[in-house]
Amino acid sequence: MDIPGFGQEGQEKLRNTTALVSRTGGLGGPIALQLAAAGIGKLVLAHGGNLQPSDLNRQVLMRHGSLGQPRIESARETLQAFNPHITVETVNANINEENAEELVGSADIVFDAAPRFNERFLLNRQCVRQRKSLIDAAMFSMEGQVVTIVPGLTPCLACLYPEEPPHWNRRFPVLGAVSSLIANIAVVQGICLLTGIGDAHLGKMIYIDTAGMNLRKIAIQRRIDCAVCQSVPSAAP
Amino acid sequence: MPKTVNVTITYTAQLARAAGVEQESATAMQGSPLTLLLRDRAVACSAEMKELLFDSDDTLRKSIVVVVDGSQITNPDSFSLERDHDLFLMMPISGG
Ligand SMILES: [Zn+2]
Repeated sequence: MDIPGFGQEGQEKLRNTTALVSRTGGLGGPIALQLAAAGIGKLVLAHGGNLQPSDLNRQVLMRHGSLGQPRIESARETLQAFNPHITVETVNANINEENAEELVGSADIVFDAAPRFNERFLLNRQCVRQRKSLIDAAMFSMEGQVVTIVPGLTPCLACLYPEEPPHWNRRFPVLGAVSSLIANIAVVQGICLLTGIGDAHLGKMIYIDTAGMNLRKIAIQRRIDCAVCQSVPSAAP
Repeated sequence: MPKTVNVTITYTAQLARAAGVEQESATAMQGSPLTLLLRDRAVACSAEMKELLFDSDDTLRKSIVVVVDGSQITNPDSFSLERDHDLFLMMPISGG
């Protein structure tokens, strides 16, 4: 990639990186695809369940012919056909208490695209415990946000949301173009963090409202009483 | 004599739907707590808005991200309103 400051060294860093992507749907699918395009060395993908017709409005790694089949198989086939030079490891399950520690332990960086807060909080806890960087991407209707979490350097997800939101529904309005846009921003942030190009926006939330094409960078705060990260000493940036 | 100040409130996600607007102007007493204004706006808006913002103890839900002039506020009960504050109220989102 002929990007100033990236060069062979940046490409080597990506090639030597393992990224865990939690879920490969509307957000996680394009995240995995762009990581594959950028030449990430290894993808570890976790997503359970079989492909449903209602997934196809946003889940770009899936194929119509795979309806009823495991989503994770569609994701793997699409990614390997797209870039056969990367390693794709798949887990036919969502992030859960049994697999989170091992999966996070296997990765250098984690991308979270899960639709449920309990999965996100679990991944956040593991990333903080294992000092792994976490790119948290989320969307709703025409809005989306990305937060880069580096334990010791930035607030964590529990600093942002100290309690589980009571009103989040599993079903949410989604436009595939919005989820892809947010996914791509998440990958940009991850690549900035891994390679040192650009600005990884540590301590900031990037929020976009695509209806008005408004972008905000919000300074988020580390909570000294955070139940997850308060014991992690602050590191100099 | 206490002065009033004008502030702007922007809502995201389900909050914008419940408010019926994405952004509105509001008037508050200068130096009054941010939470007081939010409680007044929620009551004036709808029961749904009140439920989204406040718990059964009438405390602002901790999962609501309150942003003032571009920075998250973690102490909205003790945060005092001043002229032209830009309030951004974020409903937690997790879609994927
Ligand atoms: Zn924290």
